[in-house]
Amino acid sequence: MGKIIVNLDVMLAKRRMTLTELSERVGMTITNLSILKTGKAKAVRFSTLEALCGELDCQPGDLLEYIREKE
Amino acid sequence: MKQKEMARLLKAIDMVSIIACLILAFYMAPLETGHLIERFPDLAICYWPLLAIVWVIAIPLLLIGILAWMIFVEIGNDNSFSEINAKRLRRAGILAFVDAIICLVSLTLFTALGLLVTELLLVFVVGLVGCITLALICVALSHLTIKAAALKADNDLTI
Repeated sequence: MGKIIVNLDVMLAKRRMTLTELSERVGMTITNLSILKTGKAKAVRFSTLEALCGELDCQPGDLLEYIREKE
Repeated sequence: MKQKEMARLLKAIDMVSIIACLILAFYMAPLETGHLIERFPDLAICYWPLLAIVWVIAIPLLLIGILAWMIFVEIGNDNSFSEINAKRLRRAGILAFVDAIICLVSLTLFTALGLLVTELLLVFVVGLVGCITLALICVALSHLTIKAAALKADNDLTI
């Protein structure tokens, strides 16, 4: 088994954008973005992924990464 | 109707219910029991046991009123579907069931002692049916609330 991690902080650093700026651009609250960034989210809507990829100019695979957990 | 207004209305109804319960238990019950004894002198020895039964039945009802108040506070705080509300509903259901048992035992006891008159039969049967209905509704609502709370938790963490 493994888990999906969200590399939002990596993409923010690459695009030299703060979380606040991103929240204003995509129309999401900082709280929700923090939940995503800290890996506490249980699910992500496609509409959210579209908005994030649009603003960060990246692919979903740049944001989402699967890590296999060692047994 | 907004959430806060709904919560205030529910609390007001709850307060009236609690006051009504206290009036019934500590004013109406002694008065009516006295009238019953006047009509049926054979029941004279039952005056204090009858009042004791009424007061014992009133305690779980008052506790249900308090639990309901706490549930309405959570509704006012936009926290309707929560595990704590589900637990409170379950406790209310158990308390109502306890009251139903008390009604049933009292009914059986009075019947066995040959002291059951029509008025008492009516009161105990209405009490029994009412408490069983309340218990069923509370337990069912508790189950639905806990399922809704789980859905809400998932939804809150869906970005």
